Amino acid sequence: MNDLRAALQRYFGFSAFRPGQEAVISGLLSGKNVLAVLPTGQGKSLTYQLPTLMTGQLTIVVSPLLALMNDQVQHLQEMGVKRAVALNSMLERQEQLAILNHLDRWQFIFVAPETLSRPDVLTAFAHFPIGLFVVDEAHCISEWGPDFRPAFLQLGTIIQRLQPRRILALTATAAPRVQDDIKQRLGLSPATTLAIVHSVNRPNIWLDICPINDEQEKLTVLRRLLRIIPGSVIVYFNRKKRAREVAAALAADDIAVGLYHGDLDPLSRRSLQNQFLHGRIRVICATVAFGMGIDKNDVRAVIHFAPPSSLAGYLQAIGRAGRDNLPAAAISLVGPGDIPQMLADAERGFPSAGLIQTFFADPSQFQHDESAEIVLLRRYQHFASAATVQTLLQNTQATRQAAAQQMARFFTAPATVCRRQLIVNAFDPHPMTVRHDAHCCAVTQPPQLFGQLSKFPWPALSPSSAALTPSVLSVAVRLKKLFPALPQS
Amino acid sequence: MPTFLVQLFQKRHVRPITMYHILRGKRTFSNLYAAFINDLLPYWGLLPHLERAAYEKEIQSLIRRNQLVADPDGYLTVTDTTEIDQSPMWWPRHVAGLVMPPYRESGDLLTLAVQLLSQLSQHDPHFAPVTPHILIQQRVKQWYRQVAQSHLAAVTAELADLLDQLPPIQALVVVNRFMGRNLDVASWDDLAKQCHLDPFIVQLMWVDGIAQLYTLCQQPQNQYWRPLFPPPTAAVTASAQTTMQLLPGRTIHQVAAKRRLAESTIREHILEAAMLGDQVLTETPEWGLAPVGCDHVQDFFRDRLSAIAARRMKEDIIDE
Repeated sequence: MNDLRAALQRYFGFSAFRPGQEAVISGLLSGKNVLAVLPTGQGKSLTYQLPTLMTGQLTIVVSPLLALMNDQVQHLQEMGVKRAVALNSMLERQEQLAILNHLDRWQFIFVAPETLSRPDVLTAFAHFPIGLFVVDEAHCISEWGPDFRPAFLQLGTIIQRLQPRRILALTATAAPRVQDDIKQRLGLSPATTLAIVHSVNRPNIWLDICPINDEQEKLTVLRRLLRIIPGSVIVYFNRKKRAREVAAALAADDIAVGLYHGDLDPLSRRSLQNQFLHGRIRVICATVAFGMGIDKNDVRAVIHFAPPSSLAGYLQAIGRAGRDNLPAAAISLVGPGDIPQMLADAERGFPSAGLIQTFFADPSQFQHDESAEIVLLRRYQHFASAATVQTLLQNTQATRQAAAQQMARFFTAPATVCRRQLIVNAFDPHPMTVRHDAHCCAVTQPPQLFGQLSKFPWPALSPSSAALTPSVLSVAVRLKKLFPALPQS
Repeated sequence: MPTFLVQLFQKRHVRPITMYHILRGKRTFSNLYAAFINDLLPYWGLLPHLERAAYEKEIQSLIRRNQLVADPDGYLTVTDTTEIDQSPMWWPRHVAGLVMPPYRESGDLLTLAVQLLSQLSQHDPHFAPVTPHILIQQRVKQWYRQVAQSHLAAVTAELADLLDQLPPIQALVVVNRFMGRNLDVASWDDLAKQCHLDPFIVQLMWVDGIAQLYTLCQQPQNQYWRPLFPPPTAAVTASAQTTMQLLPGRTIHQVAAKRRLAESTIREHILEAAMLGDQVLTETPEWGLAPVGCDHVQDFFRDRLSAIAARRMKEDIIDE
């Protein structure tokens, strides 16, 4: 164990592990496979980074999101680990070949499941010893989870072909049924696998649901909240347009606000993340695209301006608050139209049986069709027959609708019901009984909410690590900042 | 984007799907010909990531608003009632489509080179390259080792000088999209606010600025930054060049047989060279074309060749 702590200090500069990390790493180093369910904010990435750095063997990390992969590669590079790369569709074919032909040059290869399923990629990896095979966001493998990704279904077969020395399945939110599904689909037998499951409960985050009369009132309440809450805040939206409108309104109030959504180009995304991380932006108005891979310790509140589509999504989002284990708040502003809209969204985007048959009979006739239904079918195209896809999609649709209904119940349950208990019951295999008190959760009208937050034990603001720099600088000033030694023209 | 699209369609005769392919840079003979004849070649590949659904949505919106109208053959024209700024405040004038490396690649090369210089000149070896493209990373590393490392002051001074040659607003956009030690890029929205322009136009301005810097770097006095970029690309494909080398003294039929290609492909090569090559090409008897009126396919080729020659001669007169 001392060796582990010494390695943690050497590679990361930390003196202690966060809960769960040490058990996962020890399990891996003793030769076991591990299923790790650790709450958001507990440093899941470190559980594969440290063993890889210690053993020097190749680690493949299967990751569902391009942006997340690139963030993780950047994070490693900033630590000084240069032998990390993301192998995905963003790279030209020639670049992909350059990676695959020289696997010995890399220590971490992040790869999308779709890319890993390609025969040329599999063949290249099959001839190279793999120390650790990591499935990040492993809940995506389960059709019982709302984030099911068909390409993850191939991972069991891929693991059999590649024969990695150890397998690590990582997730923050997996109900017991999903955990069983992960183990079964990845071929993780009880004899060789250690399951490390920590409660999803984050006691330092106060949960609040605040009923709102209309959208206008929501904005008014948000403005007031941002005056009361000190420090960094993430506001989540389910529509890019609304996020843009609210960000513009907050900017007009002279709040240092950023707008984040999936369509941002990589440079702008990185810039916004950095500015938020260093305190140059206090409030981020974002869609769900924001957050994965963002490790900012002192986010004091996560506010949902619109409800997320599942309880798992809600947990992921609120888990970005209070990673320093100091008091933080998760506030949901729920208007009368929000729940019906969320339930309607869960119904949308699934193709009919007829469309599935037509698409599979001749996909080429849909080559220019970018509707949600066709985009979804394209994902499934290479993994199963039309009949199987129809069954899978029916199951996925039913799962999404059930997840949305669970989310709706969370928001609409009587005020006396403890929300934290609902979360623990939904995700923990052996749910504890939550001690419900004023620091746990509440359903409050806006005036009560303002009162509660005014008395909230907010920690002292940590000093911003960077001076406030205006975003747009003159050519001369910017050049001087880039190259301080450049003589004045 | 809507204003830009209206300007592009103005006084041109292009189908919307062809315009889309031109902006994405999808190289087929018919797209090239449409771009040439409509004076759209400079905009070739200007928006390589333009999504078809987003483009079509804009086009439909412009048609609904009566700013564009489709004729019975599917060509789009600008309606008489559309108010068009005859001299828009800003327009890309340095993009050159086919003869430049892709703008994304040049932009990534320049941005990464600046990041590398900024970080290393401030003794910060641990940083994440701004681009995930490993071939770009390799090229920048090689350039740094061979050119920049031993002349850091001169390299940064040359960059400042290059930026000085850009129009001020464009230099502002380009330089604010550089990042370095403790310095992030400015967002397109913030730049748009600062420049009082639409974010889409600001992004076009960046592309045009990269094109202008690329052109400036090709001048012999800019010795440090020139090796960073790939050399200009030939507009005429290697295959068409081979055809044109074989053609003197041979008929089209003979060249096709020698190259094991269809005669129609050889005719397309000739038209490509006529549009994009150095010389204005006119028909010669050596090509062995059937007399006028005997073969409608060959007559069609002849008509296109004449149209290309007429257009090029008109350009030459304007240039003089």
